[in-house]
Amino acid sequence: MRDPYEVLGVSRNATKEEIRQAYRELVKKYHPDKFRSNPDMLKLAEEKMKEVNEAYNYLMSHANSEENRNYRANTSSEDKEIYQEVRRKVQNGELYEAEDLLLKVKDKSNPEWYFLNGIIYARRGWYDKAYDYLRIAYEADPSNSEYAQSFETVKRASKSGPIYNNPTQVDDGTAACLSCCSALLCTDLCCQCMGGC
Amino acid sequence: MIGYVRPDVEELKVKELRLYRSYYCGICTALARKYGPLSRLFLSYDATFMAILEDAFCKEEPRFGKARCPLPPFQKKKIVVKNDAIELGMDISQLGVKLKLDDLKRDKRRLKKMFILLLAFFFAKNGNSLFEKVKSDVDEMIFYEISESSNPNEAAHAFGKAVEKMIDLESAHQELSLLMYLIGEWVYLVDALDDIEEDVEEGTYNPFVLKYKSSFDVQKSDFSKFVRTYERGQMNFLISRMQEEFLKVEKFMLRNNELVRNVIFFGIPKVTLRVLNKKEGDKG
Repeated sequence: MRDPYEVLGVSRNATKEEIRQAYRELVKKYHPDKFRSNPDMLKLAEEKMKEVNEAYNYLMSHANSEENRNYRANTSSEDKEIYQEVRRKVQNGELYEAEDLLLKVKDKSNPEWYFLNGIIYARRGWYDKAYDYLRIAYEADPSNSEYAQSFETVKRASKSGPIYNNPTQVDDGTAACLSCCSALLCTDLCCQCMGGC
Repeated sequence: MIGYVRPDVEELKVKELRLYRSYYCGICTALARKYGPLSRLFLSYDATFMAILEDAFCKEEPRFGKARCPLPPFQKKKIVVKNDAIELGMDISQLGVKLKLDDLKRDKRRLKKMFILLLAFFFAKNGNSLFEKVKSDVDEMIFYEISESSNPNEAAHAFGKAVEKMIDLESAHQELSLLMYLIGEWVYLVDALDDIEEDVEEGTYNPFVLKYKSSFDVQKSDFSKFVRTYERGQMNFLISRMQEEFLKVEKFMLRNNELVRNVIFFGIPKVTLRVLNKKEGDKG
């Protein structure tokens, strides 16, 4: 299941009433009558609706329970393995696979989960989402230098002004304005731990 | 969504411009040969760019030849002789028309552009395997439009996925796919940003208008400027991502890297700036 808060488009400390409201709007938005004329679209709408229902049911049964909001730093060994695999996949550019893997993580309140999702969004160039997720990871664990650095680089890349310079002076993407994501995943670090490539 | 991925001619060397033109003319000539002279009109910058990008990874050297061009008449132009890359350029031009057609079918306001529909007819009746490949993504994109998604990235994501599939990855490099995706995403976003005024006036779907709906009444006539100022961060970020991916892919390119580099580092930023700094009365 995707992040239920994201599916419904509500903030993480939304009240039950707000969640209900968001759910009602989505039901209206994906109402099958809108898509009657086109069977392909109808199928997509049904898929969306299924996702929305799942998210709604999950949140309604979990909302307001404190544990849902608190970020936990300790990670189960199962999740740890997934995170490592996700890092490897992001490194290889297999973003879709990495995204699917992240859905399998049980504890979705861990900062690492937000961090890796943020990295995937950053890779895809989704600025708003990358910013939000990396900020949550950073705020949940400000002592983690990897989180802080990634959040900083995303902010910097968006402010660097239109990049309109001569690329011939750039070697291997080390120029300041371009290093935005090479720093994001600590490329060297990963490469070495895999035996160097 | 046509014509945004273009080179910045002022920054090209003369020999690079010649090379660019021979791809352009190569696709144009091949189109005319296959679909008749009118089809020349559908050649776009985007299709040319994709052809150049694909050829950059093609093991076989392109061959050059001469062809007669109607503009200006009687002059012979140097062209790239038909190869896989040119075929791809043709397919993409055709796809562009097809998308335009679907756009027209959904959208009555563009009646004045109906003549395109007539011209496009002989295009669309030819089966295009490329279109089959990207159909599900295009459907997804249309779906976001019908359901009036207020997140521009969603539809841009679907379009990016479609563009990603345009180059056959078996023949090209795996690393290329993310660059292609980012280009597709950029095209969608820049097109939507470019059309804000028009879409507000005509009441047609534009994800950015919905995203900033709550500020619409406050901003009134400055609305489009307001949106563009806010989206600057997104566009800057996207461009720096593209450039980064390009630098990763560049070492695998066998040729044409100067042309691709020009588009990524000069053409695309220039178009972005033009759209972001658009003032009232400016033409798109």
